[in-house]
Amino acid sequence: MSPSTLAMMLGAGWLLVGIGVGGLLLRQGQPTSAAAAAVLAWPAMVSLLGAESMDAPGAGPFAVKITAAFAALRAALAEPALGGVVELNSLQGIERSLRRADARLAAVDRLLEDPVVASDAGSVRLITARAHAADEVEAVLRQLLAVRVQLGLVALAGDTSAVRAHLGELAARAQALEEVTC
Amino acid sequence: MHLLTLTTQVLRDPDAVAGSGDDHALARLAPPLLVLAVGGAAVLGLAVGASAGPLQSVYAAVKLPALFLVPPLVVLPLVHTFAEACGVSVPWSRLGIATLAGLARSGLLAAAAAPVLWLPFSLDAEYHLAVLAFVATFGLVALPALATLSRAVPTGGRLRWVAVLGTLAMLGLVTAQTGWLLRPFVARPAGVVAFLRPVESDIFSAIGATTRSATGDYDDDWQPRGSGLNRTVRE
Repeated sequence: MSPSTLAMMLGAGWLLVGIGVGGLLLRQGQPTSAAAAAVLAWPAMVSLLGAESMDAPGAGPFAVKITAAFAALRAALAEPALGGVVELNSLQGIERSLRRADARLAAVDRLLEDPVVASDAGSVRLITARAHAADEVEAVLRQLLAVRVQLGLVALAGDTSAVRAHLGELAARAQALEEVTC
Repeated sequence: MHLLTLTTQVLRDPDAVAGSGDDHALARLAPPLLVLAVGGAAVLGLAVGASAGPLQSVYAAVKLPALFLVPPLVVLPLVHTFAEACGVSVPWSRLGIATLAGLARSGLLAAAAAPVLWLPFSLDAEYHLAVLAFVATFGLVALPALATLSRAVPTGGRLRWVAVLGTLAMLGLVTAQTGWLLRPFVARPAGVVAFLRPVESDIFSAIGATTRSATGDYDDDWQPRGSGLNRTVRE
């Protein structure tokens, strides 16, 4: 077998797997660009299989903060000393609620950009409700920071009950966001 | 994120890009990072193959991005498993985005190094020196990718250094042999331009031989031996 034939077979195999992974990502609602990248770099992107679609929650004013907060929290929980303190999956519910609230804020912001809506007498109520919802989202994000501080204490003292209780409280508060912002 | 903004961030603070490693960030950042890595490597390939004409340039521009991408991506599952075995838990998405961020940085550095390498190559540099210059340049531009990937392994844990060293060793070995299999990047002066050469020996014996040849020692002339699937064909 000539090296060129062998290389072409290996290359075709690599691309076929990549096309398969890319197709699955598209079916899951991931962006087309991510699916296209997976054709070449599928080993780096297999974690997206089964991940929550990016299309569902629209990016709102807190999208960057939410991403940063959860990335930092997950990185902290990945530390060997903190392994098993909290199931990473348990954070997904909180993140999902926050992203939904964020998407609704974005929708309200788009509405308020319309001068007709903004000049309506009822818009004051909408603006007040939006401010209240934004405060709630910020409060949950601040509490996520507090969880990271508590994780540091867990690493030293080993008492995980406070962190679990705090996360439970956060989950309830994030769940309440669904009602506040509706 | 705009490609130019990402380029700046990858060059200035690749760890920040690698640190944003959740699934959403991976889906958002992977495409532009891949473009930077492949584009940069292709530019270096164009420069490396230039001494043997446009066809060799095209071949090298196709193969060099493969040399950049394939080894780290092939080794990724092994790195993940090795880190877990050493007691260091690295989320897959973090590992993936750190790999792509490191590759993007190396790709950008490769593009920056291309004119430097192209100058001696265009002045008919001696073949063995040209090969060594290419290997040295590739090694230099690959270092930032290795550093970014190793810093993506979380701190803590007594065996973290074993995980990092193991990762670097695996990547080094696989990259070196992949480069050997994908040669020629620099065509021999009297050789026929080809996309790939027959599968022969391994990278380490060849580097030793080309180093001796570069210093004018041709006494122990190296002869490649057919191996792998080509053994029966060549022997």
